[in-house]
Amino acid sequence: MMLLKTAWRNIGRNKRRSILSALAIGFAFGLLVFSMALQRGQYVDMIQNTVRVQTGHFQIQKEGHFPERLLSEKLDPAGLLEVVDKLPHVTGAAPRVTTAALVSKGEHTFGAAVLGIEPEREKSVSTLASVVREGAFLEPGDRDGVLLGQTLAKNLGAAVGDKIVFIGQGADGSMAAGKLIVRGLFKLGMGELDRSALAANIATVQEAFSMAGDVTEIAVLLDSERRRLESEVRIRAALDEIGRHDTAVLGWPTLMPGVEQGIKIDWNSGLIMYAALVLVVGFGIANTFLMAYMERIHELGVLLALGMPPRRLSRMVYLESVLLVGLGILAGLAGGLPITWYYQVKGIDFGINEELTAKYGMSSIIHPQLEPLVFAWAGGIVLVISLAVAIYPALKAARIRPVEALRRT
Amino acid sequence: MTIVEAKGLVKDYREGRTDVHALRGVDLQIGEGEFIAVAGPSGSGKTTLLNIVSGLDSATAGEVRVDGEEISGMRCADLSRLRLHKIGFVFQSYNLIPVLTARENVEFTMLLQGVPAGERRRRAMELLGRVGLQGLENRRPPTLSGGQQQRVAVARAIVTRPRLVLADEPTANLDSETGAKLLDLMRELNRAENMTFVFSTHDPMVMDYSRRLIRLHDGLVASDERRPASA
Repeated sequence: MMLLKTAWRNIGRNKRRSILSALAIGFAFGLLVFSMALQRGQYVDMIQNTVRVQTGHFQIQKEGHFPERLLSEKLDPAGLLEVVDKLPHVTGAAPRVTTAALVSKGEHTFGAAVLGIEPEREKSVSTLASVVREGAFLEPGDRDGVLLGQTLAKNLGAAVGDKIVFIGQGADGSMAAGKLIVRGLFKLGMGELDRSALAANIATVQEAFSMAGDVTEIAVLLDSERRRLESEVRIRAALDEIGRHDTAVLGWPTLMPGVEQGIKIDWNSGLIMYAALVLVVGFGIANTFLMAYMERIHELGVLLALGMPPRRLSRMVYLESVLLVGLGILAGLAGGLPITWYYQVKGIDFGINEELTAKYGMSSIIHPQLEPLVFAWAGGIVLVISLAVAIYPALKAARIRPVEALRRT
Repeated sequence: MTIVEAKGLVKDYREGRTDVHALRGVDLQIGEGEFIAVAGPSGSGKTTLLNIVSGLDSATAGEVRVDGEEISGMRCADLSRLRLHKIGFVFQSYNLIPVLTARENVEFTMLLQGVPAGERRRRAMELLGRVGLQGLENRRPPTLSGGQQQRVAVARAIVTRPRLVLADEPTANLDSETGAKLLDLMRELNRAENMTFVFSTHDPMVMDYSRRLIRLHDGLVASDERRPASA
């Protein structure tokens, strides 16, 4: 206890220097918390776009359908929606048939991603209904209508009210073909989808592609990404309970590995940048630690002369650094937490061009996310680097030769 | 009983481009309860001798035994343990820990020894009273006079009841009256506790107080004179 007291009082010997050092550590920590929270906020936005535009938080598919996505591996939806709808945190569930076809109008033919949807249920899962820019969303009983991606429509030369034809291969290998009337054009903001996707009534697609009432997936949306893992476990148990062992529950990271990989790469490269930033601050702090040591060599020599074991002396010098780092982190929390919290609630509008943000599946307004991961990494980086640079003076203290130290004034 | 036994102590070192022969073969025996002044002009080897006896410095040649332990080849940690348990120090410039109070300074070596907090406090308070510093226990060194600081240093040196107290010019920074009071205190402790004191000094008053006066000259013992107990 007295060693702690001594270390604490030693920090107070040069108040201005100690305060400046603690503030430097605090600033680095606060900056890290804010930057990491902002980054996590971007990921939340990206994930939200992915699940709302494409996959849902997870999907129920026929076991073996993924990753080949063959129509022959189709799912009998009987009884599944009733089970899913009852589960907590589920805000929507929609059956879908997704496949590929060639779509033509006049002399123009393009490959297309075909999406068979139940219009009403789809509204509860995806943003498709809200991104129809021309015409209208599909009506529930409309078996002849189709929605086209804006770019696809442009390439086909199709407008609302025009007829298009599609041709593909059914689940049983037969030819699938049909004629549809364009009811609306959508713009999801994701280039590839806007260039290739079309959406029609699920019954139409099921019939054309010989699905006999089956689907390729049931997309499920939750009230929060944080509930995904527990919900996956819960839905798996519920499906097993009704004997649907032929099903697979797949989360969006499995379905869209590119998004998760992208987030991982961005996060990890961010960590390297943060570590480099803190390292720069660390060199400044190292100077403080070393100065505090150099100024007191005589006094440290006295402690050795009095019989303090060198290792204990080293620990005491290190303890002073630990206390200073601790103070800095507290200062960083005091400053960084409220600021980040404020922007988490209010959001930061980066004023980025809508086209650009839509292209990358992001929003112009980012809400930083104060997750435990942020504190763990920010605290970890600051602690490891600060405490690493504090080792040097502590080791030097252990090697002081008392007789030489006592000669120093 | 012999507390310190030195045989053929030699200490050479280099200062800039000059070879310094601080000790050239010193033989010395110090018995329990002695009150010794090691005197001599600057550069005669007084401080070097005390540093080697305490294990703060090592000899170029020769042997030193402290309380029966040969210290010449000891590791740093073992020398620290020896100083902690057997040797007390009083420095010329007091060398108190500035951020600790008088009482905490006295407690410090007991803390290193692992003495429980309550016992530490009791012994520190008792000893500070004995050296005449009642009421000043919670003052920090910079707020004490030189004499008061040296009294705290004496209390710190003897509070663990070491076998040997080494005092390097303890009165050099004190006026004669304060110096005399401090010497009275140390002689009283020497008599009451049979504690062994060795001073390095060129203060005639310290020499007068001592019961044995060892004079060093150019790194050799020039004379070793015992005095009557009443001196």
